[in-house]
Order: sequence, then C-alpha cells, then structure tokens
Amino acid sequence: MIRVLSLPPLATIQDLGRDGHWFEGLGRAGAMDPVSHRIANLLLGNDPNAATLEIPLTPARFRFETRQAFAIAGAPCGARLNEQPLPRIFAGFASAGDMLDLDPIRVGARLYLAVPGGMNVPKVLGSRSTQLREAFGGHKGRVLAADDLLKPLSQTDPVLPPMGLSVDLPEFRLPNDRMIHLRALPSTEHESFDTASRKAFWSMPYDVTRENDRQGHRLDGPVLSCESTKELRSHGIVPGIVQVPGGGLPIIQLADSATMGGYPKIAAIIEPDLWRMGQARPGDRIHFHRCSLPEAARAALEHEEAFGEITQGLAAAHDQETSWA
Amino acid sequence: MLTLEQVSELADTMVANGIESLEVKGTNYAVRMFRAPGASSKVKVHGPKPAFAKALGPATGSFHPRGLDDGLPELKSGVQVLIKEPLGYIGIGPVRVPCLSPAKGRIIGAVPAPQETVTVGDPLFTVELSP
Repeated sequence: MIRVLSLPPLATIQDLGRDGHWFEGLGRAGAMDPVSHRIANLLLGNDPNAATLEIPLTPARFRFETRQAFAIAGAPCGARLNEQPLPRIFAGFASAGDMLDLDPIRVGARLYLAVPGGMNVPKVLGSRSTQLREAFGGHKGRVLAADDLLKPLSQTDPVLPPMGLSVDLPEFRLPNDRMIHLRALPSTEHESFDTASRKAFWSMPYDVTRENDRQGHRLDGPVLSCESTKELRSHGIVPGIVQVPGGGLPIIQLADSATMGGYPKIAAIIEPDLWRMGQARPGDRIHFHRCSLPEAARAALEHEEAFGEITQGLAAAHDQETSWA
Repeated sequence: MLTLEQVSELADTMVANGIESLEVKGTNYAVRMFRAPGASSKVKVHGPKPAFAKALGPATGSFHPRGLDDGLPELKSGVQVLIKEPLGYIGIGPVRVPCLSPAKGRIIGAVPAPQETVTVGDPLFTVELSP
C-alpha cells in the first residue's frame, strides 16, 4: 500500500482504455503512453491491462505503508527510493516507511507507477481507467491527491531479484534531438488539402504547443488549407487522428479524444507510434512520415514482437533466480 | 651512496611491512639489510588505510553502462556513489539486472566495457569506501 504525500494535479489511474462504448459517445481514456504502462506491468508479472498510476507532473512524493513491490516506467525524473537513485524503468521492493521521490521530469511527459495485480480500483464499464471529463472510473473518477492510498489488487509478491529489474525501452525520440518521428496514414480528407499543404505536412516539422492535454495536442507550423470549404458533418474520430480546424494548424487526438468531430482529417498516426505523443512536451518537434497500410500492419506486428522479446527476457532472467538469492 | 637517513627510512619500512631482507644495488655500491628479530614498526601511520568494496555481477549477460538511456548520470572512475546506487546493468535480452553499489564511496579503477560478457559474481566495480 502506497500513500500519496504530494502530487501535482492530473495524475490519474489508467489501464489500456475503455473499449466498446465508442458508438455510445463514450471515449476510451486509457494510458497516454501505453508502452511505458505495459512495461511497468510486465516487470511485475501483471496483465498488460492492469491499472497503473499515470503521473504527468512532478515533483511527487510517496510513502510505502507496507512492504510492497512496485515498478516505474516512462519519462526520466530522478526517481529515488530513500535517496537511492533508480533508473527510469525499474521494478523492485520497498519496505514499510520507504519514501519514493520523483523530481521534475526533464525529458518526456509522463511516468507510470505500477503495483502487483494493478491498482485496486473498481472496474466501471469494463475498465479501471479514469474518465476525467465524465468524472467516473479510476480513483473515484478524479485525479489523485495528497493522502490518497494506492492499493494493489494482488497480495502475492512478484518474482524479482533483490537488486530489482530494469528493461530496454525504445526512446520516444533520439537523444539530444527534440524531433519526434511519427508514421501516419493519409486520412479521409487528405486529398481535400491543396498540394502545397500536403507537401508541407509530410515534409516540414511541427512544434508541440502548450495547448496540450489528454484529449489532444495542438501543433504549430505550416498552415494547411483545405481546397473544399464545405462544412463536414460530424463523424467518428479516434486517438491518433490529425484534424485540421479552420485556422489550418493540426490537432492530434489522443487518449481522451472526443468520439465525434467535424474538422477535416489529414492523417492518422499509426498505433505503434502513438505512445510517443504521450511523452511529447512543449518545445518538442514532430515530423510526420507517410506510410502505407502494409507498413503500418508490419509496424504493429514488430511492436508486439518487441513486447514478446521482453517477456522472453524476463523469463530468462527469472531462470537465473537462484543466483539472486 | 645511501645517506644514513635513507638507510634508516628503508629499515623502518622493512619493519613496518614485515620484510626480512632487502638488497639495494647502486652503480658502485650494494647494500644488504636484514631485519632484526623482534623489531617493531617505527613507520608513522598517517591515517586509516583506504577500504574497498567490490560490486559483483548480479547475473550472467552483457554489461550495459548506466547513463545511456536510464535517466541516470554517466558513471566514470572517481564518481561518488551511494550504497545500493545502480552502477550499471547486466542485460539478459532486453531485460536488465542492475549492479548496485555495495557501499557509499568513490568508484576507482576501470569500469566494464559496454557489451562485455560478465557472469554472476564477476567483480565489476571497485568502490573506495567513504567514512
């Protein structure tokens, strides 16, 4: 059991999202960076969909009320357990009374805190994710705050070496480079944009602005113009869709995306790359790379294979368990 | 030739280190010295001898230095570390087992090369203990 001692607003309980209600106008929610979320769970032997605490703002401080296995994954933030530095991806044990400190996030935007079995919050409509707009799910439908308790669903300790475990995680952008590369498919209204706009969109960088939250990121860069000025009927949209409102600057829909929208859609970021947007912050730059449907399918396959390799690596590491005793 | 002071210093060092005999050869001389039975040390001790602890390989795999992508600063010889601070990792596929500092102190000597294959118990780092 972990007590929140201090935590800036916007930290929420998330799993991989609430599917199956899109047609009813209820968004999916879920982890903004599902890769880090899944890694934190994998390290503890959890189901990838187990609920974690998504922390978008730091510094933060937690106290372990009992001996507790835990995992962190995501943006580096100078995490320390009783002042001992921890790598940005780590799973291990804390003793009762231990303090977990997170310094300000320097690169990236979010990290995930996992416990065995996942965070013990009720399932609502098939998911433990917090639906902030509708104020349900997660921890009482709200952001976490000081004095809240994080309880694990499982009381069984995971198999971990005494010194803990870490794992390779792909960088969301190259070191010392503020450019995030995203592969995307042309979307329904792609051809409605004039040639110069389409060329600019696929070749010029965009800046991540301060107008960003779990619903989406507004970008700054080349202004795009749509040849057809006809107003569109509202239609279904999903996370990853790149809309272009009247001002001509793109908006990327993210985990708390609306289910409907009327802006023209120029592109859709492929799912294996969308997690990188969950780690984007103002000042980062984005480059869209056009890809084909078969390339997107191959990327999805490679994405899952990478998780398979981590699972195999964990099994191989557990085989060395005797050496950890 | 050796001065009397130098001879005296050599004799003291022999006693302090338990050396039975010593031979010094110059271009035109040779001195052979023997420690007297029961002679006690006269060497001044300037402070406690530095103590060291070894960080051993926690698993078998390939070595990954810290500071590349883990959010921790790069580790070099001379850097101060805390007890249980990760000094590097042993990679088993994409999984990494941290190699933790056995004590608070200063890293001395060479650090392992990236991708070097290590086995459980290999001495990987030397930590000069801080008081």
